[in-house]
This record gives sequence, C-alpha cells and structure tokens, in this order.
Amino acid sequence: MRGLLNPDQKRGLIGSAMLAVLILVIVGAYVLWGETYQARILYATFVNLIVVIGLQVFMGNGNYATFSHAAFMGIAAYAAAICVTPATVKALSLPDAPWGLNAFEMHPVSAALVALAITGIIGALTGLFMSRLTNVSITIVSIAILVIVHSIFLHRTDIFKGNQALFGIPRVFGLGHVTALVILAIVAARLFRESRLGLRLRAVADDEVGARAMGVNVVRARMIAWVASTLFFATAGIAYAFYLGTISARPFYFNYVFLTVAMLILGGLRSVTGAVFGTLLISLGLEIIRWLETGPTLGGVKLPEMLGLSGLLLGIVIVGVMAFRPHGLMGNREIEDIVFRPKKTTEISK
Amino acid sequence: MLRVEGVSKSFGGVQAVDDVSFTVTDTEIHGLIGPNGAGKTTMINLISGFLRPTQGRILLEDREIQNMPPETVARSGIARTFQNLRLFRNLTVRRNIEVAESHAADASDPTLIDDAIDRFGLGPVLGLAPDALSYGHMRRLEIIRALALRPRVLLLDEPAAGMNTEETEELFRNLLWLRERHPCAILLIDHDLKFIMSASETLTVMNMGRLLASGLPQDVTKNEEVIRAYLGHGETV
Repeated sequence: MRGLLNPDQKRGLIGSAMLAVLILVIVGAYVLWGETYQARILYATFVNLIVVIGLQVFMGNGNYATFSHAAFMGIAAYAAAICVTPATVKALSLPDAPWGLNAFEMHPVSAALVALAITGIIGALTGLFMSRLTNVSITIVSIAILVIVHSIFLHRTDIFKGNQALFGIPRVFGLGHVTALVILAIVAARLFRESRLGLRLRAVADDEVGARAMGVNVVRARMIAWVASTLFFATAGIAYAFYLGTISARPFYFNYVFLTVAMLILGGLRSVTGAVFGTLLISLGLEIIRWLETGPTLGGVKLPEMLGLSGLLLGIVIVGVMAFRPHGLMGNREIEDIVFRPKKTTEISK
Repeated sequence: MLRVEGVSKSFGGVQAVDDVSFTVTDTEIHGLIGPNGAGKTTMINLISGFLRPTQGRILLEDREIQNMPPETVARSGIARTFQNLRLFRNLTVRRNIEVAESHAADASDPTLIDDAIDRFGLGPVLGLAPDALSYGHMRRLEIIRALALRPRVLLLDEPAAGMNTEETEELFRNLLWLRERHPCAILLIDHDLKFIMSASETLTVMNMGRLLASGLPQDVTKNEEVIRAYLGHGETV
C-alpha cells in the first residue's frame, strides 16, 4: 500500500523541521533578549516570510515572474478586516459601505475563513487565464491584476477607505500565531514542492514541451499552484490585518512587491529554504540600513542621513544576485541537502 | 496498432507532409527514414500531438488521436523522445523518470523501470542532474523516461544521434531488450542507415513530405524511387 507521503515529501518534512527550529530559535532569542518594539519587526518579517513562501510555490517552482501577490494579500486583509471589525466601529469607519458591509461582525476564525475563500475564488478566476498564458504574458497580466486591485482599493473609498486607515480591527493575533502560521507555511510549501504536482510544475519550468510529452497537463499544474499561492498570500494578509488593527491600501502595492521578490531572488527561487533565508537576510539587512539611514554616530564619526538607502539596497541585491548568482544563495538545494551533504559534488537535490 | 491515414501538414505555403499513410503494428520496430527535410520529425510531431494535421487521421487502436493535445496523447500510450534532448535539467535523473512514471498508462509492471535503469546503466547516476551525464547517458535517459509512460507506441527521434559505433550497437541491443521486456511498437527515425536497417522489421521512406515506399526493408531498398531519392545507386545497406 502506498504511504500518505512519498519519500521526497518525508525528506521535505525533515527539512521543514530544521527550518522550524531556526524560526523557533529566532522567536526564543526575542523572548529572552529582545526589546518590545522588536516584536513588531519580527511579526512583519514572518508575514513577509509567508508571502515569499507563497511566491516560491508558483513563481519558484514554475519559474514565472509574477507581481500580483500584494493584491491578493490586500484582498484578504480587507475581507478579514471588514468581517471581523465590530459593527459599531464600522458605523464610524465605513458609514457609506454598501450591501450591509457595516452592519455585521464575525468571529475572527469565521472572518479568516471568509477572507481565504474570497481570495481563493478570485485566485481561481484569475487562474483561469493565468494558467493558459506563457511566461511574459503571465508577468504582464500579474502586474495588471496588481494595478486593477490597487485602483479599486483607492477609488472605492466607501468600502476600503483608499489611502486612509481602516481602523478598529480587533488585534487578535500575536507573535505566537504568526510563528505557527510560518511553520505551517514552510511544511505546506515543502510538501507541495515534493509532491507529484510540484514535481510536474518544476518539470514544466525546465522544459514545457518535454513535460507535455511526458503527460503533464501544464494548465492544470499552473492552475493549482497559482490558487495555492494566493492562499499563502491571503494567510499573510489576514495575519497582517489581525495584528496591526489598522490597514490602508498603500502597503499592498509595488514597494511591497519589490521587497518580497528581492527576498525570493536572494534566497533562490527554486527552494523553500531559499525563501526562508532570503527573507531573513533582507529583513536583517533592512534593519541595519534603516539604522544607518538615520545618520548614527559610528566610532565617534557622525554619519550623514541617507534616506532612501533601503530602496538602493534592494536594487543592489536584485542586480547583484542576478548578475553573479542567478539561482540565488540556495539554487536547487534545500536545507537537508546541505546538512546531509552527498559525497559527490555534482549531486544535486531532487 | 498505430495507423496514419492520408495525413498532410502545411505551414503557410510549405507542404511539410503530403498525404502520407502507413501502419505500425503491435510490437514491431518500424523505421522511418528519408533525407533532411523529408518530413520525418514533422510526422513524429503530428503523431505525438504537438502538431495537428491539416488533413487525414491518426488512429491508435481505432481511436482518433490527431486532435488530442500532447499530454493526452502521451497518457493514451504514445511516448516519444526528441531529436534535440528535452530533459529536465534541474531535476535528478530519478526525478526525470518519475515525472513520466506518474502518468503511466499501465502500472502493472512495477519493476520495468528498475530493470531498464540497470540494463541502460543509469543506476549509478540516478542522483545526478542530466547536465552531469555523458551525451550517451542523456540519450538513454530520454528513452527510459519515455518508457516510464508504459507506452504502447514508442517514437524515437534519432536516438543514435551523436553516438559512436559501439554505443549505437549497444542501443540496438537495448532496444531489442526493451521490446522484449515491454512489448510495444517502436517507430524509429535515424540517419544511421546501418543501424536503422538492422533494427527495423518494417520501413517507411519519405521524401519532400511524401511517402515513397513502405514495407519490408529488403523490398523497400529495392524500390527505384527510394534508390533515386535517398539511397543513391551506389549505396549498399
């Protein structure tokens, strides 16, 4: 009888456990030695990590460049926020909301499920055409989705309040919740990567003609991976709204897309471990840069204020990695491939 | 088993295949030869679903397949290799094979692929990426990957290309073993006439998109049109 998991998925679980330990060590270090303000930084890093892992599912396994993830994150964040915010608060924050959106409230779990369902349905609808497009078209359409959704956020102020804050969202999530979600995301992404479907998608990424000749239904593989990735983005959006208590349209746009894509590129598109390492390294780098931007005194020397340095860093990371290490830090490798390094240097991961 | 009936294919004004018919019967090795530009690879692309004929029918066991997409054709039992290798470069040899095996039309012979891996000498390189293999190993991997679909018809597009004499002879022995181990029809294209004549039980010759002759090799090679267009009067095979 076939087991529930194939041998590569079992190996993936070992790798997931190693990454989970890394995440828990970081959280533990914060609990033991961290400052209170660092909880927010850590939380944001973990939300970003869920997004980058979601990017790896479609963009990494399929080798497509897509830029609509901030839109799906925003859709879920707003859906969860509108559902969970008490009606009394919405009477103030969304007085002109249509369809009775300001007249009800839901339990956070129900709100999260509704947000996941809405995002998944929109993911499936957009997937109907995304899965039938080829590389450049996928990129262009993903940008169009991002712009369309952002425009709706900005112009339907009666529902989304545009660039103004939608406030009063109950802050029901903490660091523990997002840590659990990150670990779940890592496990889910590794199981997907090593599944038959993940393998087929990676084969398509290498050679679509060859994959079709081997029986791979390219449209189906893309469709499932696309919808799955939107659910990761939705999870991140819900976690974002449930922690901050206030959201606006502005964060769900190009700057955020640029940041998360840089994280995946640095780590390596084809590896979940790469997504984790890329996110952690850029998050750490950005904190150092933000400190440098303020013009600190280093060794008695007062540095000038260097606003905009973080954008410069992301640009340098993308250009540098693309030029000198196009497969990112990890390439095809996962963490267990490094820990249990094979004897032959030519051997690669699955 | 596989019947090609009056198949034509044109690209704009160019007639790549013109009213070609032939039959590949169960478990035979059927050679498809012709000079460059004869339409051989176009024919393989038509049979495997990568091209749709402008006219004619292609039948696999009486079922029309000419309008099916390639992945459906593959799952129906027609597997192919490519003239230019199309391996999955970022997957190991083992996982290259698994991609096909997950779509196997018939999983009743679970040891087939392990046996083929041993026979073709790929056991020691299962964990390597295709780029780390020799060219001969890459060619063998493409054949095993196609075999993993458990095909009823195997289309081999120049499997001996780039191989030396010893490797070609080994390929010949391996094809006979393969057909014995997994009874299926094999449609074989190659430029190595010695190889194809020794391997094929029946032969179809194409030239300029048209069928010149089809039948037993000894009969086809005596066909005047075949000699004039392809073999040449001084050619011996």
